[in-house]
Amino acid sequence: MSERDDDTKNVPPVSEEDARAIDAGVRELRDAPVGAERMARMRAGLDARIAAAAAEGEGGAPASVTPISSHPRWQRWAVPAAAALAAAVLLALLLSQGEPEPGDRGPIEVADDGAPAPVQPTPESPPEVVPETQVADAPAPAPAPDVADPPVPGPETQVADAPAPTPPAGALDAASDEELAVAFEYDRLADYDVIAQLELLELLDVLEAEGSI
Amino acid sequence: MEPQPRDPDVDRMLAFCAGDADAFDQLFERWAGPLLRYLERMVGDEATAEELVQESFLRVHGARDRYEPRARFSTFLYRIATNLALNELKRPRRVRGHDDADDLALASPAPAPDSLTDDRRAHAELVRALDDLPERQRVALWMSAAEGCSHREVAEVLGASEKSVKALVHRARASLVDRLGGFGQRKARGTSKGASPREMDA
Repeated sequence: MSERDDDTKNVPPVSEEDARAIDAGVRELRDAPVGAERMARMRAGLDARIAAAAAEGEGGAPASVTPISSHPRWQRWAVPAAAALAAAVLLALLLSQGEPEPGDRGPIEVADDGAPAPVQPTPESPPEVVPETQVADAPAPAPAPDVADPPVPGPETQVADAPAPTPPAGALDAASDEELAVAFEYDRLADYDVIAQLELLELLDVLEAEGSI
Repeated sequence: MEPQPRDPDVDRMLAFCAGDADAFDQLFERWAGPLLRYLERMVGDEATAEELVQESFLRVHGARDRYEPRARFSTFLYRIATNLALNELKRPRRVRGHDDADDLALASPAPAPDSLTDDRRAHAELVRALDDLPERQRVALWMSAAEGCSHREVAEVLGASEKSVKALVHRARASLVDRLGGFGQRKARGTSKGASPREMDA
């Protein structure tokens, strides 16, 4: 709809008499009789078209007919679009779950598998794992609980849940008040968490090597 | 939108949908003429208008399996016809065939003999003025004045708001008054036909 359609500011008023006269004139044009010959010609043409359409579509509407009460065009795209969106969301979720957690994911897989797996990253591989910097890069150190919640609780998630973010007792004893204050900050606690997990993993490795597990 | 008083043509269409072929014939007999006049004014060519009448009724015929009486039958029919006409107007312009006032005299209801000249001239001027209106104004005025459609019904045909339709009708009338000058006085002086057959039916 253009703006001009709504605009009547510069249009002069029309008197009732003029409006009635115009409308009456238009009505007379509408009601002008159509000759019987023209009517018959149109009817014959229509019958021929109907017969052709019936032959073409076996009684159905011709392909060119636009249904007046059809759904808007956008609705025809709604289902595929919704499916695509759902697929994209699902993919994003899978990617976010499958994204390597640099600090703990790799080592956990190493610890669980024992034998070298084809996908298993080596410690010398290019994305070198440096726990402190990576924890700092990821400001929310909550991936372990987040990831551990939805999936089936296997040994990996149990291991991830087990170590509470408590620093080693020795470290706390030796720390000054200032250091403790700093340590209680979020990032430091996260560091302790990672370190604790690494220590636990090392312990698991040792136990596994000894055959205790 | 549901029709307020029961539209007999909606009943005919429903009867046709139920398999009554005579109902379709009745609809054609009743509406082919007015639709032809409307389409003549829209496309300005008699042969094209006849083709579009056939195409409109072909689509009505083809819609029998999915027709829903949401509006008056005329609104349904004119919506189809208007879309066809507007599409036709997008094509390369054809020769317009209505500059001859003699055609209009033949097409008009028989006036009183003493007013024949004035009436023919007034109608010829009206036709020319109508043809020069922008398409949407022409549709809005015709549907409103000739078919007695409400602004809402015209809005449905045009895919516009009621406010826009009101403005379109007003602009169309103002243009015609400006163009035709004393059309109202000449009409009042020239003919005494007044009411259309439709009004007389009512």
